[in-house]
This record gives sequence, C-alpha cells and structure tokens, in this order.
Amino acid sequence: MAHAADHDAHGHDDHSHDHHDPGFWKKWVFTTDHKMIGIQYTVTGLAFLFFGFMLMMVMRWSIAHGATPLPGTLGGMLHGFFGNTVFQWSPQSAEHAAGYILTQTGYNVFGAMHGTIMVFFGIVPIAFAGFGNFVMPLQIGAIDMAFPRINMASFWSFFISCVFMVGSFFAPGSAAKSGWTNYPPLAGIADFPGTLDVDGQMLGVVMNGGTLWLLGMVFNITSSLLGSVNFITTIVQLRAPGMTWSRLPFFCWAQFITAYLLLLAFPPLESSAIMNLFDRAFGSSFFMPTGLNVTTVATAAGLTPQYSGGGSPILWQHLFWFLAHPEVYVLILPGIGMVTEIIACNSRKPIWGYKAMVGAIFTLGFLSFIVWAHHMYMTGMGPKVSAFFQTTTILISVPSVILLTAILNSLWGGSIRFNTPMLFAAAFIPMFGIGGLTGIPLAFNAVDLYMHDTYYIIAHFHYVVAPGTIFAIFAGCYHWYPKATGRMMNEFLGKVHFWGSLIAINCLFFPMFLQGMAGVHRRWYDGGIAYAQTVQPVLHWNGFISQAAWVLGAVQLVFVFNFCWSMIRGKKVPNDNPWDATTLEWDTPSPPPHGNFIKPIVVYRAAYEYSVPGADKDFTPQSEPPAGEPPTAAH
Amino acid sequence: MEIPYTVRPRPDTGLTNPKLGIWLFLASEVMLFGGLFAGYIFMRLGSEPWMWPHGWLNVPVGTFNTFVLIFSSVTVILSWEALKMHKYRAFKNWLAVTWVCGLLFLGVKLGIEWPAKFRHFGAYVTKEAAHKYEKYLGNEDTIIDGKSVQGRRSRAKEDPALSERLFISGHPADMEQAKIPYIPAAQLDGVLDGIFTLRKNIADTANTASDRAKATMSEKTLVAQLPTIGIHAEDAKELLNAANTPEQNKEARAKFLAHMNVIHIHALDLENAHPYDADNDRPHFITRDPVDVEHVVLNKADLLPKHGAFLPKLNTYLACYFMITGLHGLHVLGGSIVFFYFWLNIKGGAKLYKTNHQQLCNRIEVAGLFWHLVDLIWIFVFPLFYLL
Repeated sequence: MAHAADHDAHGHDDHSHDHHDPGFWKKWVFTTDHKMIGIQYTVTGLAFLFFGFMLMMVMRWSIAHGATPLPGTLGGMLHGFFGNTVFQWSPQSAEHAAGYILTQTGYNVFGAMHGTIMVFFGIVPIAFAGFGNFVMPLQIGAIDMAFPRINMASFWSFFISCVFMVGSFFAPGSAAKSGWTNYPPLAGIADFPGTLDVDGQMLGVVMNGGTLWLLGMVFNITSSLLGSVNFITTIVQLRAPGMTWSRLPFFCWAQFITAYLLLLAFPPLESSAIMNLFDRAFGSSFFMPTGLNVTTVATAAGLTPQYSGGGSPILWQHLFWFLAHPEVYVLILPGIGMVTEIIACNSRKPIWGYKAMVGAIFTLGFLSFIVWAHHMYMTGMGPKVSAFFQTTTILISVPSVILLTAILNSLWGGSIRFNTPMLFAAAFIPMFGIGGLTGIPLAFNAVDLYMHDTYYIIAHFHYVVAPGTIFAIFAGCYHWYPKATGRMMNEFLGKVHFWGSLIAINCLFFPMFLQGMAGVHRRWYDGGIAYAQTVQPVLHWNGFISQAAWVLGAVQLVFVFNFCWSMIRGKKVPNDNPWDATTLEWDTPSPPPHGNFIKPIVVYRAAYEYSVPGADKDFTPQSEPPAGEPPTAAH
Repeated sequence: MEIPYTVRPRPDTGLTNPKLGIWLFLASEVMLFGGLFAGYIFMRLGSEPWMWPHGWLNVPVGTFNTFVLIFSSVTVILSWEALKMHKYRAFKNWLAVTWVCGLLFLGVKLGIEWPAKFRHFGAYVTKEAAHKYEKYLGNEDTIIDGKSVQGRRSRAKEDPALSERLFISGHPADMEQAKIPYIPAAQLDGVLDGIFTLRKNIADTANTASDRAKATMSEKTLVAQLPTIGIHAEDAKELLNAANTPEQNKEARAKFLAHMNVIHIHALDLENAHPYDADNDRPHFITRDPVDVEHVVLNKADLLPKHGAFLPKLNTYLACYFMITGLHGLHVLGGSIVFFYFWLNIKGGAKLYKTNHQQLCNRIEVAGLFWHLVDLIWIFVFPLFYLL
C-alpha cells in the first residue's frame, strides 16, 4: 500500500507539471519533448525524401530522352532555381524543340545530391531519429529521452546541416558533383580553385559545393552523435520498472544497435571530412597523391596547381566506407524493427524467434564494421585483403537471413489483418529479400569487377532501401499516425498508395537488373546513347523505367494528401489502442501528453503476448498485471 | 517533470545517465581521433623516406606541455576527492589549478609553438639544382676547421634510413613575397600579351558599345587570373601601366620577375641548424631573430612548387600536426571552459555544493572523465609528432 501511495503522489505531481503551457516557440520549434522532436525529424525527412526524389526525376528525363530539353515551363523554372551550371538553354534542332537542357555537370550534381539527401537527410532522420525519438521512449515506458536538451541540440545541428546542403546548390559551380561518396581527388578537381564556371566566373577557392557538402556532413554527424548517445542512455537507463531486456520490444533493440553503429561508425567520416576541409581550405595533401595530373584543368585557367602531394585517395575511401557500410545497416535496422512490430501486431502472433532476432542484430551490428572494403574491390587492394572482406561479407548475410526468416515465420498460422501498415510491412519481406539476395553475388570480387558501377548495383541497393526501408517507413507512418495525431489515416487512400507504389517501384527497379547485367553504367547522363553499340538491346528500358518513376511519384501525392488531410478530417481514434497492440506506446492518450504517461507504468510481461491460449482477449498489454495480482505491487 | 537517474544511479545498472552518456561520447571520440591517427599512419607509411621530417618540433616545450596536462589530470582528481570529502576550499583551488593548466597548455601552443611555424620558411630544392645550395644542405663531404667531415651522402652508406637532404629552411626577409609561387616568364607574358592584344583590338575594331563591353569582360577575366599565378592586384596594375606596348613592357616584366622569383632567407644558423651536425640539422623554431646567420638567395625556379611557411601546405607532416594538435587544442579549450563554469559561483557550478552536492560531484567526475581522454590523446600525440 505504501508503494501505491508513493506512486499516486508521484503521478499527481507529474500531472500538475504536464499542464503548464510552454508557449508557441517552446512547444513547436525549440522543443525538448521527444515526441515533437520525432515529428520534426520525420516531417523534415519526408520533405527531403520528396526533394531527393524530384532531383532523380529530372535525371530520369535526361536518361530516357537522351539529354533533350525539359518540357517548357518546367525547364525554365528549374533553370531559374538552379542556375546556369545545371541547366543550359538549347536552341531548336532537328532532334528536339528549344528548351532548357540538364547539363552534364548538372546531372552529376543531381546524382551526388540525390544520394546524399536520400541517405543522410531522408531515411536516417525518419527511420532512426524520427520514429526512434517518437516511439522508443514510449515503448520502454520513459517520460522523455535521458537528455532532452541534447535531443533538441541534435535536431538543430541536423537543421544546420540541411541549410548547408540546400545552400550548396547556390554556391559557385553548384553543389557537390562527384557522387554521394565524393571521392577525392576527383571531387577536388571538380571544384578546383580557379576553374571557370559556365558564366566565365571564377569558382570559389574554398566556398564551393564540395566544401559545403563536407561542412554539412560535419554537422550531420554531430547531430547523429548527440542522438545516438541519447538513444543508448535512454534505453539502458529509463526503462520502466519490469521492462527487462528480454521484454524490450524488438523495435527498441533495433534502435539500440543502430545507435551504436551511428556512435562508432560516423566519427571516422567526420575525421576524413576534417582532413578534406584541410585540403581545400589550407592546401594540404591528405588525399592528393604525388604526380596527380590536374594540369588540364589548371592550365585551362592559367594556373599552376599548388599542393605538396604524397596523399592517399584510398585513405578517403577507407574512412568513407568505414562509415558508409554500417550506414547501410543504420538504414535498414530501424526498418526491420518497425516491420517486426507491425507484423506481430497484425498477424496477432508473437514474433517468431525473438531471441534469435536480437542475437542476429547484434551479430549484424558487429559484422557491419568489418565488411567495408567490399565497396573497394576496384582499388586493386590485393587477393589477401579482398579474401578477408569477401568472407565477412558472406558471413553478414547469415544474420540478415535469420531476421528475414523470423519475420516470415511470424506470419505462419496468424490471423492476419491486411490493413495499410500491414500491407507495406508484408511487402517489405520479399522486397528486402530481393535486395539482399542480389547483393550476394556482389560480395565476390570476380563478379563485382564486372558489376561495379552498373545499374545492377543501383537496382540492388535501391531494392534494399526504397521498397525496403521506405516501405517500412510508410508502414510506420500508417501504424503510428493515430498515436501521434489522435486520428486514423484513410484506409482507401492508403491502399491506393500501397498498390500503386508496389507495382510502380518494381517496374522502376527490376529492369535495372537487366540493364546492369548487360553493362549499362550508372553515370551515363544521356542514358547510354554514346555506348549504344554495346548495350542497345537493353536501352529501350530507359523510357519504361522513367515512366514507372513518374507513376511512383504521382502515387506519392496520394500519401501526401492523405497525411495532411487526415490530420484535420481523419477518423478520430476509437480508443487509445486502435490496433489492439501490446506494447506500451498504446497505453497513453493519443496524442500522448508532455511526460507521456498519465498513470504509473509497470511492465509484467514480454512484448508480444498476442493470442495467448486461455486469455480473454487476443492481446495482453505489457502493462497488464497477471491475474490475481494487485496492479501496483510490481517489484 | 524530472528525468530519473540524472543524479542518483539506477540500481540495476549502477550508472547515472550522464556517466553512461559521457562514456559513450568518449567511445565516439576514440573513433574520431582514431580516424585522424589512421590518416597519420597512412600518410607516414606512404611517404618517401626523405619526405617525412624528424625532430622538427621543439621537444622541451612539448615536454613542458605534456607535464602541464598530466598534472591537470591529477588536480582534477584531487578536486573531485576534496569535493567528495566536503572540503570546499580545496575543491575550488584544485579546480582552478585544473582550468589554469588547460589555459597554460593552450597559451604555450598559441603563443610559442604554432606562431613559430608561421614565421619560419621551408623549401624543397629540386635534385638538379641541389649542387647550387650544397653549402646549406650538407650532402657532400667537407672540411670544417681543418677537420674532414662526412656529408649525408657518405653517412647514408652506413645508415640506410638517412638520405640526401633537399630541404632548406630559415626566416625570410619578406614572408609574403616568399610564399608566392614561381612565376614562369611565359605564363606572365601569356596573360599580359593577351590583355594588350585585347586592348589593341578594342581600339582598332570595336565600334559598337556591345563589342566594347564584351572585350572589357574578356579583359576582366584575364586580369582576374593574375592573382591566381601569384601577382597581387597592385603589382598587376603597375605592370599594366608601365607601358602601352608589349615591347616597352618587357623591361618592367623582367624587373618584376627578377624580384618575385627569388627568396632571401636567413638560413644557416650555425648554432641551431648546422647542416653537418647530425643531431642538429633541423629547422629552428626560435622566436628571436637569428644573429650571425648566412643570407641565402633561393631561386624559386630551383624549388619544388610547395615552398612556404611551415603550414599544412608545405608537407603532409605539418598537415597532420596542425590538424591533430588543432583538434586536440579545441578539446582542451572546451574542457577548460567547462571546468571554469563549474568553478564559478553560479547555479550550475559551485553553488550546487550547497543545493545539490551529489550533482556537483557527478559533474566534476564526468568532466574529469572527458579531461582524462583529452590527456590520453595527448599521450599519443606527443611521441608521434615530437619524438618519433
């Protein structure tokens, strides 16, 4: 009884704090509330996903129509925004009408920024920071993150990095233009100080697209660092009474491992960004080799290149991929976490092999640190090193298959509800499967030498990330929308969105496997016309793929409409737990108030007690005490 | 609303949130500096033997700084201990010693070590031109005070690690002029002749305003190239105004190049950088102006195009040095600011002694953990740069 009194007093105390009004700026902008920060991240990330998608649409025009002008006013508008470097006026000719054409530099800029934005400004902010921030503290029964102000600092550091990235489009010579990997010295030469841009203006010596990209990444990584420290501390320290490690929802496990990857894998890119900034700002030669022939670029501008040499371009590749391979798992693990939650809830069954799955993501997390050089087979690093990385790369497919098998087995014998989140989550399984299995051939040096930088690679990693993680993100949006807003998203529009996306995205990416195996290179800006003799039989897919991309884009408008419209007109949630789920986030009001829980939370059981034999309903929330026990005698 | 376990540890983990948080942060710091040291290792293994400098830095000053930093790591512990034992004065004093040590470390860096590199000048002589500067390089055998002394080339037969020296350094008469790269006459002629031709064309043919505007644009583009080949705007103006035809301009150009393409340095300081003294043939980062030194005239055409002050541009060793010590210096600055904040008698600082003693203990402990890592990084930096 003493316990109960304690809890009550505490609960009441919390309650009185919850109702003070923090004011507009503190509530919506400079907030320390994990839910609002999660929503800020998600909305910013969704906006960047659409921006990155639009960049790709322009590139797809160039590929499908062999670098002909964009249609009418669209070209004019884009030219007005991005300037002369990216779009150039092309007069009427026998082949095409007059209009603005995407330049080769422009294609490179869009390609580099599409990759950067999708990975670092779209998916990571949504899947890790957005959903992690919103859902994870609720699921473990915490009142907020362990360091709320650091959480806010994390978002604003991310925001500064966004400003750098978007601002870089307006730098002299436009944004970064050497792929999302920004390999020096190529990236350095592309922004070489003293090069003239198309207007005859000198490019910035330091403040050019590549430098702004690096500065943006420094802030982005700082944001990830602050976020990951916060996530790990929160999961370790702020679990509610009774929330033991083996009762932790799988989504939280996935976020936990993801946070470790961010914590340990991102700093090396920060150090290489610092070195690269030194090269650019102070003329050092970390990545500039001796004897580099940049004279063609330099003499064109009447320059003598000034650098000491002796640097190592391979060093950048090592440090970059030391980040960027774990980054792949940063992209996919939160997605797997979300899909697992949604599949357990909608198949009304506990997930199959919870412990095996947790073990698998630990293994995955560890192995992801020692596979990075499989991105670098082309550097000629020698058979011994390459044998090591081939072995680890093959090993890492084992935990991935365990995860996928466990999710698949969770469906077996369930009474499945095919609502929109479930459709997306279920589609994730074969889509991620295709993405993962097509990666296995690439693990082998001999195959990779042929496949490297072809559309096969593009198709492979897009299958993992686009119909993989992004489908998981959509599933998560539909699943947790009622919790965040108190309203349901429209089911019919959701199904239109799902079926349209599923069909279009497969039409979009599957033909790329065929093109890639035939040898179509990923950086041909006119869709490969110049190489038509070798790849002619597969070039006709260019148009089909681009049309599929337009359909995919159109279908996303349904989602945007649904997302906005449901906020005002969506059906109100019938109760706080509309999906009849077991985890703790459904034990709070919708939307949850500041401080999250209006009653003391104690956990009595594992995360997925669905359809327990003998129970009176088909789900038993984690906070429901065992029969016959008083509700607060927890410990 | 109060986040639990910010002050008292959670019973089952035995940790407070800040303590776990700082350990995680330190793990990422290890990865950050690990990346930088990986860069150092790559650069060093990849460099040619004669390119990686040894013994350039001032070891006594570095040693002093090492002891300052280690001492401050001890004092932060003493401060924390005094705080735990409720000895307020001792706590404040030891904490003050800690942040003063941090600032002293930075003072030595900012006041002595880093600026010296900006005043000193270094250049690599090309192999073909090495014989011209033999006296300052010490490669050949020679006779000093009637005794024959082995040069580096002879000594290299016994010590394979030793190689020919092509590096020459000293204090230049005019650092700004010295940093400008070699300007080939042809390059200068190309730009200036282009401008004269353009001007002539404007006078001869350009009739319409738009023609003239176009020509002026092109001239602007050409003029804009002059700074990039090392010619300052005023010099360029002087050169352009010297005469109206290329022929008359020739003399002015030759004079200009004769001035620009040599460097006057005080190079041979026998006391500090004797080319035949195996233990003492390195650059001398002294703050006073060297006396009794020889005046050397270096022709820029004889130098590899990366001469300059001892800055990241000169060589990769210095790039590593400035990057790692610079980032480490930022960490020292950050730590000192945090200790200063806790030392002040304000709400989040020493005032907590009365209001929340345990929290103040935690704060000092957590900041101390960070301080030890900063110290630990220096323990790696010092031997790597100063001693190896």
